[in-house]
Amino acid sequence: MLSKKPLAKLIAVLVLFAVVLSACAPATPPPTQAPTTAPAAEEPAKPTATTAPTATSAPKPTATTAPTATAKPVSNPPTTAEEVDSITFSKKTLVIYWHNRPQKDQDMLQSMLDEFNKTNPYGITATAEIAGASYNDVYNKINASIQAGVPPSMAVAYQNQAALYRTQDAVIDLTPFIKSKKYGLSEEDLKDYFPTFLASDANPQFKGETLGFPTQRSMEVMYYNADWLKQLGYDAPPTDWKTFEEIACKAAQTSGKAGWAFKHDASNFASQIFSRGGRILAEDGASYAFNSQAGVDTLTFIQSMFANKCAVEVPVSERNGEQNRFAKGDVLFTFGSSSGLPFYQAAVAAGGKFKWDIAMLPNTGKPAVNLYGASVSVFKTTPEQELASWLVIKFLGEKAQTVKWASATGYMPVRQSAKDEVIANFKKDAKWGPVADSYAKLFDWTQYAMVESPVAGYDPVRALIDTDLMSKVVTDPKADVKALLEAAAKKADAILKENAPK
Amino acid sequence: MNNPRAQLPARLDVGRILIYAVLILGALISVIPFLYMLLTSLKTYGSVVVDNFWPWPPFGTEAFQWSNYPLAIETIGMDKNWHIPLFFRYLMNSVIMSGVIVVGTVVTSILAAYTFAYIDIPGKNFFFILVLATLMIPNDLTLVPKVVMVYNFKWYNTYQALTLPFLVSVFGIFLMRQFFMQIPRDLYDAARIDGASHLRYLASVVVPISQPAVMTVALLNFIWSLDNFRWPLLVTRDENMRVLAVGLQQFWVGDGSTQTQLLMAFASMIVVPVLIFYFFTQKNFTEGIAKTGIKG
Amino acid sequence: MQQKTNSTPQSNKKRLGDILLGYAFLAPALVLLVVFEFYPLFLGLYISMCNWRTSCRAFIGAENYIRAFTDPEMWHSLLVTATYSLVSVPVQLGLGLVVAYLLFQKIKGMEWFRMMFFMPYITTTVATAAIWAYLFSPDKGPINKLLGVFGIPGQRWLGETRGIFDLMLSGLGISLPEGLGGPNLALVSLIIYTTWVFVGYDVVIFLAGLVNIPKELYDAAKVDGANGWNIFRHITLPLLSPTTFFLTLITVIGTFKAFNHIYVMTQGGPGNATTTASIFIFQQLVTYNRYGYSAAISFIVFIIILLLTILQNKVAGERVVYE
Repeated sequence: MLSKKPLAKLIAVLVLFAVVLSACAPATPPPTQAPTTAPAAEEPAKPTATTAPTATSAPKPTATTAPTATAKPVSNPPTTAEEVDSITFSKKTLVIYWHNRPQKDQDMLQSMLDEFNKTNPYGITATAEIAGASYNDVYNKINASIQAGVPPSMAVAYQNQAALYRTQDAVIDLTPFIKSKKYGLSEEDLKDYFPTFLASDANPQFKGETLGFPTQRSMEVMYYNADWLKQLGYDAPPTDWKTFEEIACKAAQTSGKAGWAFKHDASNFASQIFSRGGRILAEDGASYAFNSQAGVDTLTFIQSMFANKCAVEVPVSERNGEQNRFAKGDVLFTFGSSSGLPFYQAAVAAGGKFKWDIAMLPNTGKPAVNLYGASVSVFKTTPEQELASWLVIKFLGEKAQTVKWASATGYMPVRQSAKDEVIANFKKDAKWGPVADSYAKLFDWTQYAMVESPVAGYDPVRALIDTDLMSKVVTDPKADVKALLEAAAKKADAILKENAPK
Repeated sequence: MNNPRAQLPARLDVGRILIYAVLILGALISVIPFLYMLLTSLKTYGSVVVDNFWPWPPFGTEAFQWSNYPLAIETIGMDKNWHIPLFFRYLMNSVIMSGVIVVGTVVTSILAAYTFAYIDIPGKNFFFILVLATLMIPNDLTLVPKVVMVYNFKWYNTYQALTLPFLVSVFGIFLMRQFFMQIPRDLYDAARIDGASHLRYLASVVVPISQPAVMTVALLNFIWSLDNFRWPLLVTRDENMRVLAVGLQQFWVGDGSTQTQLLMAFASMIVVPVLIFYFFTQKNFTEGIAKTGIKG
Repeated sequence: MQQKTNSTPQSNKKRLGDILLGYAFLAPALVLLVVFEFYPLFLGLYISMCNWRTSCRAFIGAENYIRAFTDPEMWHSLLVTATYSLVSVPVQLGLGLVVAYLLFQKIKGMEWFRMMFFMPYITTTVATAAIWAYLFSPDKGPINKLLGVFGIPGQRWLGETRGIFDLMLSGLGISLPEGLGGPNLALVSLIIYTTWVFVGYDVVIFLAGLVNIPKELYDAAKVDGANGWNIFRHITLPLLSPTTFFLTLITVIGTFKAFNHIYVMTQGGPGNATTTASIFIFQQLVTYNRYGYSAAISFIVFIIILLLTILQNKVAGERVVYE
């Protein structure tokens, strides 16, 4: 088809192109991290100095000498508030923040960071990047980056993920930064944060080190189709599991409809365990505890929902698939993150256009909610970059930013003083209707907050919970739930041991 | 094309109708998924949510949402440093990766095959068997060490990682060698008598004659390189280094998880250009592939 | 291709030059293969014997291998891979041969048919797998809707762990004992997709093989009064055997390498119903961060496949007929 001359020319051009590009490739401008982490990643996996965040342990003379302050070498990471105080920014610092929100949230986040970049007196430039579509994707990326020696400056991370990074000596304790007089948070500020939010970040596996700091929180809630519920003859969403099953199965009697959308998400499992008085991880953190009666009841419930054809399974390849099914009016109840509120709203507005609302999951007497929405961890890079990252976190937690972020995403703000303004924003916006009132209730529910598992290696356990427990009971109405739980708990404990800090 | 006329008479009868029916059914099955992709890409979000199979006239009133395509590109995101939509970065990365791989495999195949066909070097058989042996090495076996190598060579998140491991195609070496060995010996002898060096003979006689085989090697490696997914997923980190396949999968689990119409638009933008390209280069594909299937 | 050599110093120098040139031409391919195929073998072996985190934290010898041999998940992944292969290959090749043979019957528009069958093969797997994932959607996908038109109950396709025989017979009220239900529908759904992708490729190759069978044999057979089926069985098939052998080999190797569509469609689920060795190795690497263990498993799987391939060569090689 092509005669030989043009072909030869084409090959020559391509070769030239390829050579030029391969030569230029490393120089392409994406802001990558300075590979100062390479030595850190090669150190043995022992955690560095178990940092007692008290001022007395600092032998270095700092803080008193005001004018100089540049020549003193600060340890990496800084171990005391004084060391942090002594850090100055001698040159422009770049902070890269990895998160998992979709594009429109990325745009909002970046616009907030742009303001930070304009107003901060330290020459810090912060950029946000979507590192993955889910926390799990971000987690995988970070693990690979740590191995490759190029982690970001800061990233969203669940407590257990932060713990895993900590076993690789890749994230730092934020306590010195929080306590720093010059750069930290005052007592007053700290009190403004919701206490349960801050508490979840003190890590039990690392002697209470604070491995992350909250910029948002969300919780697992029950989304329900209020119009359909009324049609079925119920005025209020169910508060116990028996009624839930009853209503869901009644809804499923209509052909093509289902009462509940089941997701292959371990958080759904955890939420149900919490609501039945159980735990995922034992209180002492030494073993997994989901093989309790609460676990048995949860799996039995799922099993019977499918055996009686009251539930529909969202295929693994259709992530967030329950949302569209709900919005079409095919599913009565779904369990999902409160941060999904804007997406549900858009979907229902485009789809079934019915009245819908959120509620706590049913429970067995004691309310419990699965509080999640990750914190932000700071990676071990250089003291300046670490401090810069902390300042970005602090900025994002300030009232103005947390109000903006929460109002746009459906996350909860991290400051108590922000609560009223956010709720008012929701109420002002007509598209939210009754949901605005329910959003306000989220804050009341935080008192019932439970956290899944803050220990390293929980992510593989989440995968295990889906493949060995949830997937099995969905497809097999006769599966021995107790046996499955025992086997899974055993495997989970082995994973716990494998990933524990040495 | 040979035809065993002994088989069936050429006039229409039940047998032939049946044959056509089966073939048409098979062809439809081959093509319908692509139609589904295109049709879904032209629906509104609302139609996707309510599973409206045909929202356009005559059963509905919506228009074809061609705007889904620019909307998909917008939703995929922007490359903040280059200020262009990320989709075009994905495209560029794929073009670079595939381009370098195609050029690399063609060049290494031609050179290696030439030695195997024309030059008598000590250990030639040994080297040929060595090349053969790599076919036995599965991707899974070298996956972990190659990933570790990428970290160690500091090629993580670079074009080197995307291209260098793929610059040799054993299939290409085989095909070219086969082809070279079928070039009439007289041409070689004539060239040698004229005092031409190997290089001269290769460049001015062998390569021009081997154009069909070169096209086959190039086209097949091009198609195979577009399929690269697991490797780029493991060795790239930033959004702007993704290739199209990875970009699509990431979109699928992100915004595309509920906006099916945008997902299908993205898929269409990957699939349709290749199909059009195939339409115009069909002969090269089928003839080239056919040649590889025949023994002897 | 031995050159005629005289033993003059001039021609010796030329010989040397030729040899050096030969090595130089071979070098790019060889160096790349050594770096990216052979060296990784050794590095992989080393990693598999280490407790690996960024580097070898501790040399643990055969511990990962012992662990793999005693890991029921690993054996299960081999079983899944074997099932996938054993079902895919005959289905794919069978359909490919049938279609090729039909196209061989002086069909009008043969090129158009061939082109349409080939389209799935050249398009990017991740994209077409995304389409099929939606086609297979149990409540939203067109396949179940189509089945509904014929009164067949919708299936769970990629989410179904029950075996296909079990599913087909349970409609008639027969229930099969444990283990005899056949390959699970999720795996079969993946196979349906794979078949869709590769039939066109098989058709092209079979067609080429069919074309190469000498016409005279057919004419002679017809003269002897042989009917279509006998011709097919005694002439076509045997003479097609080199092509069939080649395709079988390629297809079997291909089924072991299968990854992309499984990853994006089921991620190895539901449970571990579609967790092939490839997926299992990937999971160990990415989800569990077990570099050494993943490497060890890949070696074990490789050895087993190697043995099987040698076996297949021995068995099938003897049945290949050349003219």
